[in-house]
Amino acid sequence: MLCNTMKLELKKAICNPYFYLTLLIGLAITFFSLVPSLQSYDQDLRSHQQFAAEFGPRNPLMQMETLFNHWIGGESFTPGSGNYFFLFPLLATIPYGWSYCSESKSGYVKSMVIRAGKMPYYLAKYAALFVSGGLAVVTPLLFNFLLTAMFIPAVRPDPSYLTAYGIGPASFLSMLFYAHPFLYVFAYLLIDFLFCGLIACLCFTASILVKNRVVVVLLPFFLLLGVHYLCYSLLYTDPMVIYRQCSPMAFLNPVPTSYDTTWPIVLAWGIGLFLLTFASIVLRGRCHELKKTAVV
Amino acid sequence: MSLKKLLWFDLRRGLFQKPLFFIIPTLIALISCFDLYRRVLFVNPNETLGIKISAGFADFLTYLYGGTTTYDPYSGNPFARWMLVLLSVCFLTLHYPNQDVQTYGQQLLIRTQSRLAWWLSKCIWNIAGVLLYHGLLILSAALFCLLVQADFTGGPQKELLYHLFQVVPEQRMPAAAPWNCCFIVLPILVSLALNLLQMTFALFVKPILSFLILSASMVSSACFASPCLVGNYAMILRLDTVTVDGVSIKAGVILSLLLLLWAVIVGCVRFARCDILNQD
Repeated sequence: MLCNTMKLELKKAICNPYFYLTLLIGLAITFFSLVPSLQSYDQDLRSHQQFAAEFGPRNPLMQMETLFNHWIGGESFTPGSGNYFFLFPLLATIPYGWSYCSESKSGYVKSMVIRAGKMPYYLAKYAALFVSGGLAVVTPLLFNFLLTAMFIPAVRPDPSYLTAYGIGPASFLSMLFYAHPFLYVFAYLLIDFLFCGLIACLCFTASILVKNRVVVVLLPFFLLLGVHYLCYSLLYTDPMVIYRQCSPMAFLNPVPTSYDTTWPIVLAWGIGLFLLTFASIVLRGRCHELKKTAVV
Repeated sequence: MSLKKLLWFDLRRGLFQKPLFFIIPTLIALISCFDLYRRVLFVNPNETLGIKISAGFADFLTYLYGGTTTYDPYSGNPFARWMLVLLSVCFLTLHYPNQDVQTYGQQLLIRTQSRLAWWLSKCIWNIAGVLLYHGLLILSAALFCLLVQADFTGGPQKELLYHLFQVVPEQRMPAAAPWNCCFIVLPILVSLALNLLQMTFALFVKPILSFLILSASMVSSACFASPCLVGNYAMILRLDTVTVDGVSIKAGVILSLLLLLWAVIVGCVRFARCDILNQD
């Protein structure tokens, strides 16, 4: 029964107009961020060629221009990148974050629970939310990476030019970036997938507290924006100190924007979000009485 | 049922009975003021500006509505604060009209027998909500100033704010007219226009998408210092009296008023014709 419910929920999560629309918006943002990125690549290439023509081919600086610092996750100067890494919580929640709220309002939950059982239904809902959130955010990133790879060669980053990549020795996964850059991109896409899946699952937790689906979908975005604001207002106050990045809105960007993050912070956020969202699913599945809700 | 009654109902149900309308602006303002207060404490021992300074009420307000000069992801604080100040109010005013028209609002529409009255009531409610939100931001800043015994009389201190917002000397406007608190009127006006636009967009697309469009336009405004993007007028640091190549205050006022009017009229026409019964 769990398998059937899971299939049904996944189909509903991925084959719905909200998912397509969000995907389209994401693809559009990442597509348009390619244009300034290519312009910058072309401009840099010309200046390097001029440099080589003037001073001889001693150091053409070609390794400064690579796929890994021109795709949307490797640069932070284009508006597309700014837009994408600011709006990603919304892109994760819009596809299917509203579903539980709508279904419990319409009575669909009761009908499903009678047929499939409480736990299978809630577990399937969790999986569907997780997959839809992750896919909606990571697919456009992957699309941009592949699209950029069509124009810019994947030159292996050289640590001598670390200022050109924005990834220093203390950066998160920096060893991987310089040794196996493709693996770095894959690792970051995986981290983004997991986090965006968990952010989408936050909608389920929010649905328990709030009955309005607009609020449910927007709440994770404001939660993350609030954390981001608190980090910068209350934690990172001394300009002389190099802090660790604690805001998911910043550390989910593969290129660190202000401070570097660390494994313990990423793991703590991941585990915290998983426990929060999964606990609400389990509690809902075990303790919640549907009949009571109907009477209330 | 008259417009007056309908409006009173909207204000009571959609504003006074919503504690978030009061909690969120108070929290944002207090955190922002505390942030500035601490940053000024860091500036003083370094004697960066040569003299001992303390932030006044006008500085706290300018800090709240300052925005960013150019979009720089490395300076996360001003951008996040500005976005939070403007997007929180959009969030607070987003779902009430939609919720109203799907539930008890239908009864009210039958009783008033006028869609125009319903729409005008929602527009006035929206304006009142935005004004209340910004009023609370200002009031909370004033409260904080009272607590730390900050100066209420002077205008914003240019050098301090240029330093805190990390405005490069080339971008700073040479000393001309002194800054004053009137600067914050334009961000509030832009906020009014944006909220009404959001309410009108929500009649064409779903409220969530309406919010997404607005958020994207705000981020784009932060990225491009263009006079065509209305978000630029909501940032004090982007005004022509504050930074070189800034946007005109007059143009901002005109554009905001035009957008406000457009939103009210188009929304009115749209709402008069849309099918409210089959809305999801």
